[in-house]
Amino acid sequence: MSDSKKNNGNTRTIRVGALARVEGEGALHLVMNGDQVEKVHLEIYEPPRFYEAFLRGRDFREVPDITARICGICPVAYQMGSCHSLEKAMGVFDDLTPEIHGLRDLLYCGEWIESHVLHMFMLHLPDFLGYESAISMAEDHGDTVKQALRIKKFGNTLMDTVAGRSVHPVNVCVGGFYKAPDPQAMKSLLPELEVCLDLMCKLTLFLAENITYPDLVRDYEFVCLNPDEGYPMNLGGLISNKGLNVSQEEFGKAIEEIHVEHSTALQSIIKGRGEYLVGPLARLNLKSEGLHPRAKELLPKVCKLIGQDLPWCNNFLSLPARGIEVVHALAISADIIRNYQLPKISRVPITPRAGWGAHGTEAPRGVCWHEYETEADGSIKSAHIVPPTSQNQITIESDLRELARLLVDVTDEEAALRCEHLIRNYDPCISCSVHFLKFSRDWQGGRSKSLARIAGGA
Amino acid sequence: MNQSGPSILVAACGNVMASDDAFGPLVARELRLRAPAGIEVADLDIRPAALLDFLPGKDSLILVDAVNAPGQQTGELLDIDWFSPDRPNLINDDTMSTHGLSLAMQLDLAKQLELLPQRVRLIAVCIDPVRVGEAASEYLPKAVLDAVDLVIKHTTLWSTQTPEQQHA
Repeated sequence: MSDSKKNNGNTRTIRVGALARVEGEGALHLVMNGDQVEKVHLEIYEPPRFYEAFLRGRDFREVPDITARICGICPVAYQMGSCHSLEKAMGVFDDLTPEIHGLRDLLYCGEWIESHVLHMFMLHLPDFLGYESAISMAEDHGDTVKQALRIKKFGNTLMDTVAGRSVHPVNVCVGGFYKAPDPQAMKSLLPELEVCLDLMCKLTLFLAENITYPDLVRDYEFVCLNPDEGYPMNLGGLISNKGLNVSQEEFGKAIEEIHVEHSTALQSIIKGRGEYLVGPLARLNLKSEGLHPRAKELLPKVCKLIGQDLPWCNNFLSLPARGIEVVHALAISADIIRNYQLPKISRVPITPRAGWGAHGTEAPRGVCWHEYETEADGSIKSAHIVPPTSQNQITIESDLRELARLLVDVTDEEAALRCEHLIRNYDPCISCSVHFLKFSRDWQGGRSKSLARIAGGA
Repeated sequence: MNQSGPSILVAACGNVMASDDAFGPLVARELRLRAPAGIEVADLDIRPAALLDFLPGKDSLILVDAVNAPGQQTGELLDIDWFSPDRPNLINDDTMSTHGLSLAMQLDLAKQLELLPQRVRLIAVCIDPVRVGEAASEYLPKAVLDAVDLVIKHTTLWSTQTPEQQHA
């Protein structure tokens, strides 16, 4: 649904019905002056979430279950960030066993699989293939959608098995897991996992081979975790391609959160430099050597089909990047499950104490960083959470500014669709609310002749 | 699962931390104690996008959610055939979901993929806009119990009928 009206001779405002295929609520307002972009505002209406305030005074053991409810799509990310941070605050982080770390990786793989596949095939792929939605896409690509749904379901099953439920897992606790998963139940996942892994390799090649990706190359600062070995997920400090190299504890001081009038969400910059990008493209560009061999083997084939070696500096390529990450997550899961035995302990004991801890993990859409201060009785004195979408928001606006310059000759309706497509590159999770985008474009200094001609049909 | 009767799914959505939006999960919690054998109860919580995972093999579905419905009284319980032309307009399908792929979209997609159950009902409470952290309204506990009774009534009837009989 769209609503178009002329405000004056040179200014025109067009509003397009809300976009449902992203998480949250907001609007995009472009101000054009001739062919130049005067202003790009990604306006987020979401009321402040107050979660950080909710947490103050609560027992530290309650935090993972409360933060999990910040997002229905990535509850594990919020649980992992809070658990690791609070384990540091309680002084037990170094006591975590390899088995606990392995189970956490496995649980996170389930979330990556579910979240990525949902976004890729139900929400983002229709843009690339020219369909209004997954529903119309399924008319022509029913098998692809069914295969994707099968893989998505496996991600949920994996989370169910490790953590009791896929939506807001109940088995996660500060210190590990309340109960270790049953080895038999874990092993029973392997046949379906193998099928899904093969399917995902094929689907990723399909994405590389059958899509012409819009060309929007930018000079991003990519930021992701930097584990000693493997691909970014739970552990490691933080690095960038432009010199950032900090510990988890230092990250909060390396960035600055700023408030802008047009958004109720804070926006993040790297101090002294500015915007940065977190998410699959950052992880793949900075840490591809840590991919599982199955994903590493696939990567050059994908690069060849796309015609672009790493680094990928075009975030429309986040779609195949997510495909490679799903292959990685499935392959890692298979390895962990094959080697899984019932651990001697599922969690480390904790004695509450006053402390401070900070830790971020790789949510499907990028680094989700937490910091907590606790009182001597283990209650929360302060909580601070920096979610991935707020870190990406300025970069999204910069992308939109670049794209808007290229859209002066298309109708407002088409421009809105192209901008929505770009925003979905980030799989933004702005709130657990409903709508996301209302689009408006104002022409302050007059429009280009070609656009005036197109719109002048009336 | 009832081996001889229809395969029935009750799927509830909502956010227990957002006032009256807790309706769906509260109904699911109560149903786990009282639902007849053979009924699968899925609490989709604030991830309704998981609905499609539960649909294969189901021939009957009851959605339980909180909705904004213009013209309906706050606290009123809706019990309607999803496909009925008399179904009241909801402000937006997405008010029944939280995550992009709404329940309505998933049902459309399920139809496209031939996964749509033959019977789909919506049992919903009409609510005002909610905010995270607010307490639930006084009407909610009764609405939950009434909704559970409705679910049990429908599923008990369906357990003795084929979908064709239901539509006859």
